[in-house]
Amino acid sequence: MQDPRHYHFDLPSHGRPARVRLDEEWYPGIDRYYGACTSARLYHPLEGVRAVVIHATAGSSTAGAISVIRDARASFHWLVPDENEPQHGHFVWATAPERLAAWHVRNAVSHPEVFGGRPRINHFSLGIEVVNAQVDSDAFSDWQIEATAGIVRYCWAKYPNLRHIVSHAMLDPRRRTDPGERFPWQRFRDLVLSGAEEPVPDLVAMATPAAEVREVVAGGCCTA
Amino acid sequence: MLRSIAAATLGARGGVLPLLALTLLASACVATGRSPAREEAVSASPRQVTQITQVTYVDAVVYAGATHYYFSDADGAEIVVIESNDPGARKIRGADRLLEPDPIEGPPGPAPDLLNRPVILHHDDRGRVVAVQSTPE
Repeated sequence: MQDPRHYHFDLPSHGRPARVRLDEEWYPGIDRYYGACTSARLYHPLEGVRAVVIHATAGSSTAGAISVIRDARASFHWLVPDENEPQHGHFVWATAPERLAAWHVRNAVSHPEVFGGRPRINHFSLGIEVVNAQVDSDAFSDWQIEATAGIVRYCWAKYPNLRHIVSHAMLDPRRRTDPGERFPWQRFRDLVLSGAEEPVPDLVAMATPAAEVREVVAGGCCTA
Repeated sequence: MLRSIAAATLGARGGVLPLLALTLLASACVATGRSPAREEAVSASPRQVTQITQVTYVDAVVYAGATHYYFSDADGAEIVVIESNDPGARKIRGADRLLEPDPIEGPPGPAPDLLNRPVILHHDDRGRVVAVQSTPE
């Protein structure tokens, strides 16, 4: 078991995925609720994103986790379903627009290793919740870890200044434990950095091999 | 017994069996014959309440799937009461009032006017906390 207060790694400057497809679906009706528990970002919505925060719900259902958005208590950008739910193995739920700051970390929280210790982390981060009760009897499924890593790789490809991947427990160690000591952080980190689960992008798969591409020469004429 | 449960719940903050803590705590209150002051419950459904315990409110941590309320008893032992958000889960009457009403861009913390104040926990006949009675300063 590892201490979730130490879950943290920085994305390297090399190895950024060119493009990652994310299997996500909007949670039905969530657009009626997230407006009351999200904010316009203080930083540029693309270039200003520096961190992804990994959470676990301390509950056993997607519906239970969604209730905090419905009640305008907190919010997050994605929710990874539990293994007894029909979406498990297929897609993750999108629960708030990436362009908005979701309320997944308290404003006063900061960490010196994350964007120079700036507070108001929500404004420069994205939040992922994984449905898990954080008890011995509720292991994270392989797919949940792969899906979470897939979201991070999608973010890595999309956000040019994304660097920090952190647990909520690291940011707020006195009060938080998520995603919990049963979250296999090392495997998650390996999946993010290795890209083993990344499918070949469609456009790349359909592309003509380089050896078969005709050389374009000045004047618009081609040679074989 | 309660001290050991309190230790377990203290551990829960570090990740040990948080969801079992409430059940164990409730059992402990019954099994040890701890003698909480018996009063008529002010909250709804007084017939449901069989025990009342006075504690001090320490903290609240809101997760997406549950809220963990932290208290300390007269001996200073930590007690955690967990309210699940899962469909069909039992709600604790009055617990919402323990949370700050207007959090700024984050999960709510404890209501400032109730922090470190006495709180009365109402238990049912299985020792489960069914209501929380709080008095602002």
